[in-house]
Amino acid sequence: MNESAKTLEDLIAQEYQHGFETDVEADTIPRGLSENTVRLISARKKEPAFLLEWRLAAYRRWLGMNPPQWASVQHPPIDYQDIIYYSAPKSQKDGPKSLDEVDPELLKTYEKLGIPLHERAILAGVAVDAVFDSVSVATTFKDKLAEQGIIFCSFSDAVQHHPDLVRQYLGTVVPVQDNFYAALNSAVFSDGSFVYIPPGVRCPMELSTYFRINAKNTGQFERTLIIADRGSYVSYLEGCTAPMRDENQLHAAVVELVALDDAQIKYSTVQNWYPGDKDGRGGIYNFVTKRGDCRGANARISWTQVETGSAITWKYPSVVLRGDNSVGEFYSVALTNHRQQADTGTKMIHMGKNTRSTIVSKGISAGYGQQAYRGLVRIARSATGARNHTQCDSLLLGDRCAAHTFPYMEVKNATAQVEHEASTSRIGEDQLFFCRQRGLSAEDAVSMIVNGFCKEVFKELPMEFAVEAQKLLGVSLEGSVG
Amino acid sequence: MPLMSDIVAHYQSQFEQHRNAWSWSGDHSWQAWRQAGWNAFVARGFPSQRQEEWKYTNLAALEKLLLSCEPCVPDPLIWDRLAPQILLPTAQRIVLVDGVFMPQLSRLQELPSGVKVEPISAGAQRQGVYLRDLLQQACHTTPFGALNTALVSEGVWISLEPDAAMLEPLLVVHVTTRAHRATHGVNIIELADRSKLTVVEQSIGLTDQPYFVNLVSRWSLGESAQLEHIKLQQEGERSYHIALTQASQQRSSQLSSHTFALQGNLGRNDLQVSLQAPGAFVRLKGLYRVGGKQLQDIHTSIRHESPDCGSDESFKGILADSGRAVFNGKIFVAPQAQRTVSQQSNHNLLLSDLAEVDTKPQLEIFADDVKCAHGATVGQLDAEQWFYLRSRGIEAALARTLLIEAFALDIVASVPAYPVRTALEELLRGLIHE
Repeated sequence: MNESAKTLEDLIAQEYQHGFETDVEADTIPRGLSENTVRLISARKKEPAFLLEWRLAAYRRWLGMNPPQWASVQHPPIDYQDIIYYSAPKSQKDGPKSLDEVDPELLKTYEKLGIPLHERAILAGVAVDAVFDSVSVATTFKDKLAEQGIIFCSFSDAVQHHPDLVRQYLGTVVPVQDNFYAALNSAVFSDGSFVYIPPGVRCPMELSTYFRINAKNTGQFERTLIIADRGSYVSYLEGCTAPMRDENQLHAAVVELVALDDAQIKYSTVQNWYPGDKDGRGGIYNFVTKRGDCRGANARISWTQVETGSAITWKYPSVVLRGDNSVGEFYSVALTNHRQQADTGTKMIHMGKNTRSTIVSKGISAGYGQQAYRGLVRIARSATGARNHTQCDSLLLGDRCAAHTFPYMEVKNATAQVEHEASTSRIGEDQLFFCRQRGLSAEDAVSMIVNGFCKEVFKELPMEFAVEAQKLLGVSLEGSVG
Repeated sequence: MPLMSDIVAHYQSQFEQHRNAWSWSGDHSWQAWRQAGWNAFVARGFPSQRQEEWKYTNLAALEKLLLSCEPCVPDPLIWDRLAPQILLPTAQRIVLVDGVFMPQLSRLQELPSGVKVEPISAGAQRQGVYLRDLLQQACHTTPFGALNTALVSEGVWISLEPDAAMLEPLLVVHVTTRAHRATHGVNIIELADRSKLTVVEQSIGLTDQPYFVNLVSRWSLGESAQLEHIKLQQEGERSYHIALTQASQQRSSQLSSHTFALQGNLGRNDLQVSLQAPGAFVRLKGLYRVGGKQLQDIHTSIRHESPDCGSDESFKGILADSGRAVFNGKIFVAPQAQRTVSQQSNHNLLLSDLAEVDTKPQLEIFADDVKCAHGATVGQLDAEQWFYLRSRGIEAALARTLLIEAFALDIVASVPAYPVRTALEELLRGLIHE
């Protein structure tokens, strides 16, 4: 092994940086799942009757469903009775009135994570809703947003203060029976974010949520609902971390986006859940259902994701293009290192006339990483003039990893144009040689090539996120060559 | 025993009635071999759209047909009807009609030395153990492969000795003349080291009533062997044609296979190639064409099991009326298969708003030093090309035909055997101009 290869080995073996645990007292319900659990969660959150009924209906549907088997991931069966479905930091029981009331331990956690929760937030111009285990602890900039009629709050607050909106839109994009994990989430979801942008309003700042799983043995089931009314615009960021543990933890979220006429939603994720150690012990199971609905004409929904964490990722952010001329976009960088597995992709369902969609997926596999792109482009008979372009590329670093591609294309309209291209390759010796010859170290060379490979996706990310994403890749990727 | 569906029960009664009727396979070992095939079919059941492999292909209509598998004596006087359909009338050929070998229609007198072509029934007694082993591997991987084992009536066995070469194309013709029957046939092609063969496989239907042809093919290519295969599917209006082909390739062997699924109510081709030693190369090409309410389904799987192998795959489809097509192309690269180069494309031309295509290229890659790419497109005739032709005074119907022809003949152009290529071009032109 030459010297540069050694440095690379060190780099690739680098440990997870957000793996600390915060010691706060938590209000936790006993582990296990039954109708009573559902009732208990609903009662703790003082929910209206309709929501409890909705949860119970979902729970009953869930009982009759089986976990999906088609994804190319492997994990031991999950014991759903061994999970704690609700855990809230205790001091927050009565809810914070302002940031000063938030437990300083919590604030320190977020500081460590580098989230701009305080004045730094003002500088960064980011409004943050931070979700800690199961409940939302603070939402910044609420008032400033309220001036324009924008509602940005935790899901529980929305249930209390805007029940009509919740009732009107909840479950209309991802119905409870959609899939096993969505049904489970519908039954036991504990909190999440809620956004409503009134007609014609352009949200003046990036909205952001930070998710963190802290307590042991808990699952996180958050639910996000974003509604962009006619002609409005919102850009939303989501970030995630979790402490290091030997057990696997389940994260089954549901995100629903609704874009009405001429509205635009841009949803960006940097997912950095704990991926497990290098032998595959521990880590988060990230089984997420994300879907956007372009309900009106000229609506536009764009998903951008950078997936570097989680032991297993099972995630297909999708867009239903119902309105005429609506646009769906999916930009993704997924990285699997060590024993990580990812089965991710998107669905673009074209129903309206002249609907357009773009899919750019970049997969990077290193170590024993297993990765699959799974996508569906469906052109319904009604989607005259629909257009899709899909590009999915995989980069393999090391000879023990794997990359798979499963694109489905279903076309029922002759005027549609659907294109798909995919490639799989590794970093060429000649590319590396070229960089090394010009005095770049091996790791800088790899980092540069990988960043170039991901550039198309990174340019879609908001500035702060793009920097973070590049750093993340830098930390966990460099090497595996030589 | 689990509850049997009507169709499985029907084939069971056919199996029980006729299992002893095929004289060539009367002995105990062949019976056990058939039974194993039958058990595998029962275990798998009749396919439904709930299965990923059959997701887009609805076999409900075939499931309703209670077709007979009874052995029959074909009419030897069909030559006048058959002759115009034969692609190369002067070539050496072996002809099977309704699952029966027809020596009077075949021409096998002028085979080069080292080339043996005979019906399975002739070889079954002599080399039973060998044949059973060979077919065993194929039979159980798909439901229809298993059913084929249980009910196979006759087949073609082509074998070439080392260094043998047949430069003129050899024709294998499967003809169906009688309706309401299910015919199960096999094709075995064995090429010993360095041997060379061009074979044209034609499936011809001479009835417009419903029938079902279920074929299993096994090809094995020894070191540096070369097989050029062209398949022409010209089945009847209400036919069902289901074929499973499995090929294994040794060091530096070359396989080129062209599939032309042109006529027939429903067609399904499973092509499975395994590249087992370094330097093996496979080229899979094909053209499917559907109109009316026809459906053609192509499933290919290329397994790169060894380093330094290559594959090149390209399928094109033309869809008119309410026609439907399914393409599923899987490329698998094993961890040890470094330096694999693989290329795949699927292009579809939709000529009608009622047509539908479902395409799914699929890559599964476990090695890192590979170059794999695939592409798929679905679209209509190019507006600019159309305008170019129209602006030069070419009338609409002709412009359309020209563009379709250009799209389709691209696949024919890669057929290496000259006489086959020209005959195919003529055939395709005729079909497109219809």
